[in-house]
Amino acid sequence: MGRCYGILRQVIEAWQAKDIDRVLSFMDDDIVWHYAAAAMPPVRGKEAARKLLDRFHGDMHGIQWRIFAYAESGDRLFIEGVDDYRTSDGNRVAAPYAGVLEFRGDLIIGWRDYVDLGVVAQQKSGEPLSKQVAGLLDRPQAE
Amino acid sequence: MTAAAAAGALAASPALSKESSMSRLYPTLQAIIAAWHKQDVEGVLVHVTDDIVWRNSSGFAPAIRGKAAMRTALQGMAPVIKTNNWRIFDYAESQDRLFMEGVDEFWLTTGEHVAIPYAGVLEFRGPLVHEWREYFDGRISAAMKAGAPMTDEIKSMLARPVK
Repeated sequence: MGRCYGILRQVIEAWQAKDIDRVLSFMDDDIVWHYAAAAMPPVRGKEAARKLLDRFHGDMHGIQWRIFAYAESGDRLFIEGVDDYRTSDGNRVAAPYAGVLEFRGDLIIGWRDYVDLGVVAQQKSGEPLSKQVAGLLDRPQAE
Repeated sequence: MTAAAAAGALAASPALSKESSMSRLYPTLQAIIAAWHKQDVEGVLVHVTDDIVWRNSSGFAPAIRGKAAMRTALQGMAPVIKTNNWRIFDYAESQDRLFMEGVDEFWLTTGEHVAIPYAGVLEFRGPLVHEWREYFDGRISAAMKAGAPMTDEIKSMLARPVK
């Protein structure tokens, strides 16, 4: 397991346990987090990241955040995975995405996730997963 | 930056030249980009397997399966694109996978300027690409093709140096 991926695994475990403080402990104070790159402005700084996580926290249940593949280059980690969870209304959201994390030492200072928020909106409204989304998710997780 | 200029920049930078020399898969992507800059559809297709699966929509549209279907898709795109500046900001390799972060930027013959920041993964079988997955927000693409101006957010993402 790569060094950066090992840190992300800890972030995933913390988020699935909804331990926001522990998630934030892996972020640099100066983090720039594009949680929907190009579609939404990034959140800047750990306090802004906390507010975003607090907002996510309320409507994400049974989180099964999975990584299918990754590669590291220096202080950068490239990932391909899915945010898979249920909303408070019981609808399943499973958004395939790719992302890039940049590290300063052991802390994440840059995070860009590329995802289609249109697909997410459809799923949040109760539409079942499309065949093409299911096709992107039918993969084993990375070791 | 054109692919040729990018190659020149690589050669001018010892650090990047070293990184490039260690890259097994990235040169194939550079060749694909160079071909597409010239709208050379066959020059793109020579680098993919006959059974390629091209998931070019983050899951909002069905995958394009097979080289013949990819040819049809590219031949449909080429006539409506006046110029394109597809470029890669960063990449990493792991075994037969190439991860990339870049922008698909082009100008339509009707004048609209489209720039779609994205991340993607190419999976290789030998020297050829057999799976190609791209992730982005399709609503950005649709809005810009309809003439929406580029947001400040996208402008800031495009201002990165090219690998």
